[in-house]
Formats: sequence, C-alpha cells, structure tokens
Amino acid sequence: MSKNLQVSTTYILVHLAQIFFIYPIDIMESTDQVHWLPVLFGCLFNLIMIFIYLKGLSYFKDQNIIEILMKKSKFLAWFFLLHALIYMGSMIILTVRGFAEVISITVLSNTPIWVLMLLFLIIPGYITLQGMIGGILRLSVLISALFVVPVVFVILASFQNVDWHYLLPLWTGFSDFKFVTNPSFYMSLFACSGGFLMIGFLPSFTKFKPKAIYWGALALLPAYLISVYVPILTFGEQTARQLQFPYIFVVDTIEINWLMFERINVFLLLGLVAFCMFFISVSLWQILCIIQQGVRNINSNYLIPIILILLFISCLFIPDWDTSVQLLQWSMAFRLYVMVTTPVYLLIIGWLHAKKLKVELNNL
Amino acid sequence: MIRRILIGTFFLLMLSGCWDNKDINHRALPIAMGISFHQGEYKVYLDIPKVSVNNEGIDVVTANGDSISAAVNKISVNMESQVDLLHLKVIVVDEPFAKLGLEEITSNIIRSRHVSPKTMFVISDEPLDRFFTRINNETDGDGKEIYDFFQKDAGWNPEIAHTPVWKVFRSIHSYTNDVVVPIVKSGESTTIESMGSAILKNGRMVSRLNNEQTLFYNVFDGKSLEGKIEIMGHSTVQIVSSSIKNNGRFENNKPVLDSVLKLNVTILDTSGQTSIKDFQTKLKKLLDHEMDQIFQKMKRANADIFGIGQHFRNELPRTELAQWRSKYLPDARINLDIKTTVRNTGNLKLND
Repeated sequence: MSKNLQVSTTYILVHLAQIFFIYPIDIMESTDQVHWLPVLFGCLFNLIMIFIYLKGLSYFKDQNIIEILMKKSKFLAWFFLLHALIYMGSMIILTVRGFAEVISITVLSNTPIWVLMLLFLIIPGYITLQGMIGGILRLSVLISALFVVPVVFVILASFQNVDWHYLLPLWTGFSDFKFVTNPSFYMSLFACSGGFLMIGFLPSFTKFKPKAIYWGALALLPAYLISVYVPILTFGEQTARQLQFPYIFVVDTIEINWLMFERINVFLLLGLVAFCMFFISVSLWQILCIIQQGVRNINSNYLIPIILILLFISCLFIPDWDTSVQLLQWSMAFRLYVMVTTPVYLLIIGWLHAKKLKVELNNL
Repeated sequence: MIRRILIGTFFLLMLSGCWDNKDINHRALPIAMGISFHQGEYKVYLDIPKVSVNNEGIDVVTANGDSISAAVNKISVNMESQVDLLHLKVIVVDEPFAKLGLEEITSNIIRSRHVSPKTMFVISDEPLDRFFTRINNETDGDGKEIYDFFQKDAGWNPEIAHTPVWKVFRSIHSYTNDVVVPIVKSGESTTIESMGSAILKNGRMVSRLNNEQTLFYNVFDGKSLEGKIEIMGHSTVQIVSSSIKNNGRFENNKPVLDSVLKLNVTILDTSGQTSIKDFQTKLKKLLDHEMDQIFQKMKRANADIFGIGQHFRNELPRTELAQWRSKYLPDARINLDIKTTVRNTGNLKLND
C-alpha cells in the first residue's frame, strides 16, 4: 500500500517548523525590495535538487540511500554518510537550541533554557523510540489534523493589518537579481534543508510516489511567501527588518475582540513546537538509520539515550543566541554542500548502475 | 513496555514547562501606565485595579528611575505581588515628553515583550500627577474608565484616534507612515475628556488636531464607523459607511493624490428648510475645507499621517522614497472628490 499522504504531510510538517522564525529575516536581508524573487528562487533550487535526488533513487527500486551507497564503494559511502551524520546532528542541535531560545523570548521567559532544551530532546526521542518510521509517518497525519486548524486560523488572522501598498513595486529591473550575490540568500535556503535528506531514507520502509514529495514542496510555497510578506505588508520593509522574528511579532499585533485569548500567538507557537518536535524525531530516526545500518546494529533502547545525551551536551555549549545564529551560518555552507553533492552523486551512480544493467541484459 | 511508558510519563510530568510559576493572586496587573520624563529621570505611574468582590477602585503607585523598567522594577520590589505588564492597555505620557520624543520608550517596549504591542499610546494634556489623581476619584466610577475609554468594543468613538504601540514603532522607521495619537485630560462631568489628537512624526509630537479633525482623519483613513458630522448651523449627519479610493500620480514632478471619498450618511437633525442637494453641497464644502486644513497642518509638520507616500511606491525608487517626507511631501497635493449618498432621512421626510 502506498503512503503518499503520510509522506506528503511528513514533508510539509518537517519544513513548517523552520519557516516562521529566521527565514523572513534572511530573505529581507538578502534584498530590500521584490522579495518574492529570492523566495521563488529558493523553492526552485529546492525542487531541482529534489528532482535529481528522486531520479537518482528511482534507479534502485525500494532501496534507501544507505543500502545503495554501501553496495557501491565502501569508502565513498562512509564519506557521504559521515557528512549526513554531521548534517543531521548540527541540524538537531541548532534547532533545539534555537527553538528553546525562541520559546524563552516569546513565552516562557522565566524557565531555564536547559529545561526547554531537554524537553525538545526527550519528547522527540520518545516518539522515535516508540514508533520508529512507521509511527512517525502516522503521527504526521495526526499532528496535522490536530494543529492545522489553529495554525491556519492564526495565519489568516495575521492578514488583519496588512497594507497592500507595501507589495509594490513588484519589479524594478534586472538589478533585482542582486540577491544571488548576498550570503543571506544562501542562509535562507536552510528553510528547505530540513527534510531534504529524509527523502532518501524512506524508500525501503514505505512505498510512495515522487508526486507526494512534489505536492508537499508545492504546498509549502504559500507558507514561505506568507512568512515573508505578512510582516512586510504590515510594517513595511524598513520596520520589519528591525525585528528578530517578524512573523511572530505580527501575530502579536492581531486584535480579535470576540476571542477570549489575548495573545493568539500561543496557538501558532504551540503548533510550531509540535512541528519542531516532529522534525527532531524525524532527524533522530535518520541518525539511527545511519548508525544501525551503516555502522553496527545497536539496540535503539540504548542508542537513542546515548545520542540524546551527546546532543544535549553539545546544546549546552552554545551560550547565546548570537552564537547559534553564527553557527547556523557556518553550518549552512556545509549543508548546501551536502544538499548539492549527495543527489548528484546518487544520480551518477544510479545512471552507471542502469547502464550496467542494460549491458548485462543485452549480453544475455 | 510498561517501563517505557513509566519513563515517558515521568519525563512528561517533570518537563511540563510550569517553571517558577506565580499564581494570579500574587500578580499585580496594571491596566494603565503613566510615564513622564524630567531631567533625565523617568517617573512611572501604574494603575492597578484592586481585586476584590466589590471592585473597590484602583491603586496608583509611582516610582522614579533611570529607565522605565528600572522604575517598574522598583514598584515591583516594594509591592507585595509581582508587577506583570502583560495586560497593560494604555500608556499615558505627558505633552513635554511627547514633544521630546517617544522613540526610545517605543523601541524598549517592543524589545522587552513584557508589554503587548497592542497597547495604546495616549498623551495627557495636563501633568500626570493631576491626571492620575483626578481620573481615579473614588466617588465616581470603578477606576477602569481609562481602560474602557479606548476599547473599540466599549467607550471608543470615531473622534478619538486609535494607535497601538506597534504603529508608532512603524512610524519611527517607516519612510511614509506617520501616526496620530489621542490627547486626553481629566474631565469635569465625565472622568476623561478627549482633547483631539497629536501628530507624531518619527515618534515626536509635532502638531495637534482637534476632535473634529480627528474624526475627518479617521474617515479618510477608513475608520469612520458611526461618526457624526455637524454642519454648522445647518444639520447633523451620521456616517453609516464610507469607502475611499486613492491613486497617486506625478504632475510636473509633483506628487498628486486623486482621492474619491464615498460617504453614506443618514440625517440626524436639520434646522430650517433644506433639500438633499443643498445638504450634499454643504457637506462637501465642509469636508473640503476641513481636509484642506488638516492637510496644511500636516504639510507644515512634514508628517505623512495619511500615508500618502504609500501610493507612490511604484513611481519612486527606494532611495527616493527614503526622502519622501522632506523632498516630496511639501509639494504634494490632494484632489479630493467627495460623493455623498443620503441613505435615509430618518422617520421624517425632508421637505423640499
């Protein structure tokens, strides 16, 4: 039975967790007008990479990336899997640390940060341990059913104070493409790096059509645009770029008389926290996959606590928000490198593999 | 399996996020804050409702400090409960402070997150000492008037400006948006009396509008709900609905804004013989005149309270837009076209 819906929702949730915080600021810093261009370019880049990735995977039926790589050269497999491991690890550490800080800034200003970080590690760890990938995929449907209504409500409400004049100008000339030289644009690509490698881990566990991923990526486009444009339409570019988390601030300005809740931000944040935990559990499962299939088959009951402790200790070493942003910048170069090389390598060996099969078939 | 569930529940209970929680009866929740600035020192007034069965009015506590948060903290130290600014609705500043500039306190409010960005700025037309003593007079009201006065679902009227802190913050950084904030003082027969509104440019008070002008400002800004316009010596109408269409263009390198204002009104009272036609021309004349006055005031102050520059975003490149207030606004012109529809004349016919 194919599980297209579950794969789509998983793909969407994994990304939604990341979009509404730093992404708008990165886009605003990459250009000071015509923001839809970098947003669209980022999505296009993502789609192209997904296409190459899925194409490469399609040469090997029902095998995941680890099995494919291990079968070819052991050395190259190690090379790529080590990268993937660092990629996942750094992503989890930064997400946990960043989200804990965000929660601390926005809601729980009195709670010690280590408690928040522990919370963000233990619950996803528990999810992964209990469900593994089957459970995670099913959970994605449950989480979307639970949180889609409040999150969509908040997103719609965030249009309350928009001034559509801020949309203009939509196009000023070819100088609008200057953003490609701005490092902030490449930083913004982190928003689509979250669930990227995941695609390669799925095939041997579940059946899905590439269509599921494309639909997921397409469904995310409005979210990218909204997260950037709602703050700009409400405050104007010049004001929005002063803010740490523009979208979260916009939600704070919404006034709804008939609602008994004063700050509807809580709904959005709770939804995003759930998505974030889901994202971490997906990444944790990928680390587990790499270690268990690539290195040694250690019992998950022991492996997950060990990974969690290591991640938690690394999180504790990040002292402040500036450092985490700095680390995100450094890790981004590495992530981009992994995002480009992995699919391309997979495509090449896939193509060679197919050619070899063809030759063998002809010789028979 | 059972062990896993036990471990899970243990962590869920331990990590519920309820950390350092203070119960609601140990919190003081001010509804209004007054801030004045004197020789480098802030004086902060907090309006804290007494929580009891029979709503016994309000406590006003004050403190001085080098910054607002220092002063608030001083109050918190001296009070038996913790001051929590989460439900603050109104921030009152006195006129000298508003003229000096609200830029710094606005960005501090935005930064700290303790105060909601939906809080309103209000300027007091009298010293804050007097204002706070008089509005909290025990003999009349329950002390929450200052709160209800500005609530859209309570005492707010279209003659009163309505500007939350985030809009003031936007005006400080924006190229093309300035704001008006209400001016009040303690009243004689009512607790609070509206004195019009102040034009804030980049967070600094530069000019003021009277009550009627504020209404016209709100009409032009699309917030006219149920405003009543008095045509001197002639009649009074109530605005039922209004819509405005703006279009910006350049004429001889000078910005011109073509505005079409459509007003739907009903007649409340008239004096003498009058016809609908007569009535429409009089209303148009009045509005033209008033808008022109507001516009002159605005140009003198160089503050774009109507956000006229917004309509030129497509015409002007960003670098030019940055100089909108200084370079283009003084030459700007509005072509106002007013179309009034008298929807009904009440229970009586209008005799021609």
